Amino acid sequence: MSSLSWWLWSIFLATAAIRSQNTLFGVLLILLLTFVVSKYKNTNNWGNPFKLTLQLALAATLIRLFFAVLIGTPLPGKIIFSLPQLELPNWLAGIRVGGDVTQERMFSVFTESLKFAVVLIAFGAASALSSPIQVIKLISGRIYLFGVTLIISISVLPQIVHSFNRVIAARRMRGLAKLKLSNFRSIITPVLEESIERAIDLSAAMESRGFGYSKKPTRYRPEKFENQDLIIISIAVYLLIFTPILIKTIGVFPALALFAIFASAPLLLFKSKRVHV
Amino acid sequence: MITFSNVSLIYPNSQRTIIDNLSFTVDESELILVIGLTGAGKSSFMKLINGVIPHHTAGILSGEIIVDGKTTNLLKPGELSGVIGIVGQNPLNGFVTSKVEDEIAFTLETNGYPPEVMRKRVEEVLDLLGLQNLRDRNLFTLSGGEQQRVAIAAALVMNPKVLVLDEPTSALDPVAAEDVLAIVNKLVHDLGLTVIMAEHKLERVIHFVDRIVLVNGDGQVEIGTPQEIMQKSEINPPIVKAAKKLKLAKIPLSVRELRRLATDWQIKKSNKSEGSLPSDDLLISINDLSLSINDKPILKSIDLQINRGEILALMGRNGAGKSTLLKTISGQINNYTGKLTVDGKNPIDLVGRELVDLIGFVPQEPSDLFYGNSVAQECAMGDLDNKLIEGTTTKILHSLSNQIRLDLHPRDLSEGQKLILAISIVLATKPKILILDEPTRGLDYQAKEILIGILQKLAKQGTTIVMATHDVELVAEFASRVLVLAEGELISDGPTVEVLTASPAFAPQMAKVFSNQNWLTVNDVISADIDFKGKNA
Repeated sequence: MSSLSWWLWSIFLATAAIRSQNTLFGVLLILLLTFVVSKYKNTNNWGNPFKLTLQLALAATLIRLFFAVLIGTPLPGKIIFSLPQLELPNWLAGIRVGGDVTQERMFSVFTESLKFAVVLIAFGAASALSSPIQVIKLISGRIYLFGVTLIISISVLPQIVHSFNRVIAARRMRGLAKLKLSNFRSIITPVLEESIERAIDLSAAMESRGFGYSKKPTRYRPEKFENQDLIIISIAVYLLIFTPILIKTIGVFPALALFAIFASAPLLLFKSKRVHV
Repeated sequence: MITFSNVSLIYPNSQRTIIDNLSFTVDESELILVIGLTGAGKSSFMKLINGVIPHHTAGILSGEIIVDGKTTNLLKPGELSGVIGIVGQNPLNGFVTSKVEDEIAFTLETNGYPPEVMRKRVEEVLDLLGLQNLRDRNLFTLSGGEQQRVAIAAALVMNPKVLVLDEPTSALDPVAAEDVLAIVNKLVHDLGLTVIMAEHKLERVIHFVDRIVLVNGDGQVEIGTPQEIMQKSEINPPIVKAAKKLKLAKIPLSVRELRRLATDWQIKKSNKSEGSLPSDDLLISINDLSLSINDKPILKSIDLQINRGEILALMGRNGAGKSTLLKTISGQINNYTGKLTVDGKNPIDLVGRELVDLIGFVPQEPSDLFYGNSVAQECAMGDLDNKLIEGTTTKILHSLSNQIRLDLHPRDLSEGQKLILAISIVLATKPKILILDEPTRGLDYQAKEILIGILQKLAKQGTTIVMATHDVELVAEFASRVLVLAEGELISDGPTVEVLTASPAFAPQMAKVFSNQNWLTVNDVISADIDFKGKNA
């Protein structure tokens, strides 16, 4: 399947899940994406971006929930537990620090952070399933600077992770044991300097190889856009349009079942273990 | 093929002229070697050829460079991509895609070649460089030598007339380096390509280049045959150094030439100094150590005892596990099986001062350690981090080299100076063990000699030195013991002379010339009493 199809598929599904205004759709989609990625992961230089986005999404959700317990606007409802509340001056009415933690409050925060998590994970899934550079080549051949910038930022990313690890190790060998905010610079400086160097190298290499000079770049092995690409993208578009309508007409659970079946189209369409991207 | 007329180059905000009024011509199908100390401007010289300077990087250029009838003043590097192929120092930094085949096809794609032509060209280049079996591989999983071959393939696919290689072997093990250089030689002889190549390890290339360009660094650039330049320059491979010291009439360039000269010589007495025996005071003890990363075995049941005061060189192919072993010894990796103690302790348990008092680790990229804005600040922070008396690090730096300006930014130092700064920072706490991971990457002969001097001095003071390196000449100069790793196994362990003379891949030039002696270095040769039979001396 074409790289572009994987990206469109995951973007449309993520939008559909968010549009449904229902937590269950988000949770279902995350599970589904995890399964599809584990089955069709593309081996590229990214290492495992999906795992990274999963961790990021989890961390973001936990942080938001933690702060929802501590501070926020009070939302009336069923109280789960109470914390000692800080007395605030009158002009800060409407904000609480500590105090009652309600089920409603926690649920609304969870729904909000789930939206963010879905977008993040869909992005991670798309980059794990396809090669990001293939997609950039498709869309940016003619917009020269845009293409250079995108390719550089994407290829520098794995290198940043790599040099970050290296610098942390080097730091330890310099006797700097504890990570303090004041010596955070000792990590960021070498990592950024190396990334800039690498970015300059890469842009010079692309320049020397004539990137952006030809009006009509050609493809060595064009990614074929086949019927299955069309089917999968169309299904995702239909889900995007009809999910809210389905929820209204046939109820949440039947809609959820339909969503699950159609969103797993790639699993049903391909029998092979790995899709050549 | 290439004409420089009255070319001068300076960088903005810099006092130094890199190239001053240079005029010369490179002929069709010539192989030109560019040499010079690190930081002298070799890379700048190479970048001029396809116009990356001044079109892409800052740099003020006067004069004109004409390549195949096209002037770089008017054309941008991209417009010359069909004439000049460029291969950089670190191939990974220039890769745009992630698959071998795609990478090779990239330049053709951007230049809009029709798919049928592309298919044919890619196949041809894959065959030429022997990459057929790797065509579907991910670039990041290839070995260093393979990556460099892909980079050359990607440059050749456009059928360029000129190939520019900037230190193509600096990151490679000796075998992979020979492999890449053999291909370069073949390209010149079989395809008539014009090649401009920078290379530090002169012993690998000097015997097959046509002319040498010596970039002095003060604006002067000298051009001549290898013989001429070797006479003038201080940058000499061991063979030339030995020949000069022995005052031979003709300077030989290859092992073969010196060996033929030396057939009549009678060696009366070898005065090779025997290295002192290390103590039997056990410092590092490794028993049955194995390690896997992502289910891939990297180290396989290593047994190794290192005594205090030893100078140990760790050799082996790229990816043999050298770096991993060093990192394990220095406590950066903890998921190994087996037993490891350093000075009776497990290095993983050590942090902060305890760790740096025992082990000094100089990483492969010395600049990983730097985060200051100037050398002076870097040294000051080194003292502060480890609560040393102010000025300790600076004092060590000055004792190692007085060439380094304290007001420079660490990034602006040459590779050799960066290494010396990193060593100074690490030595400030007087560690018992100094570990260096490939310290000679990108070092010229001069910097290497300084490094050897520093390490020998440390060894005399009783510091144990463990170092991973590809540089046989460096190992020959001062290591007391050599280990060879292959696929994570320790396949060879013994005194330097025994290990280095056992296989041609690891033999230094002097051992190859005087194969019946136990000689490894130029010093071994010149200290011996040799009867030249009158005809060469």
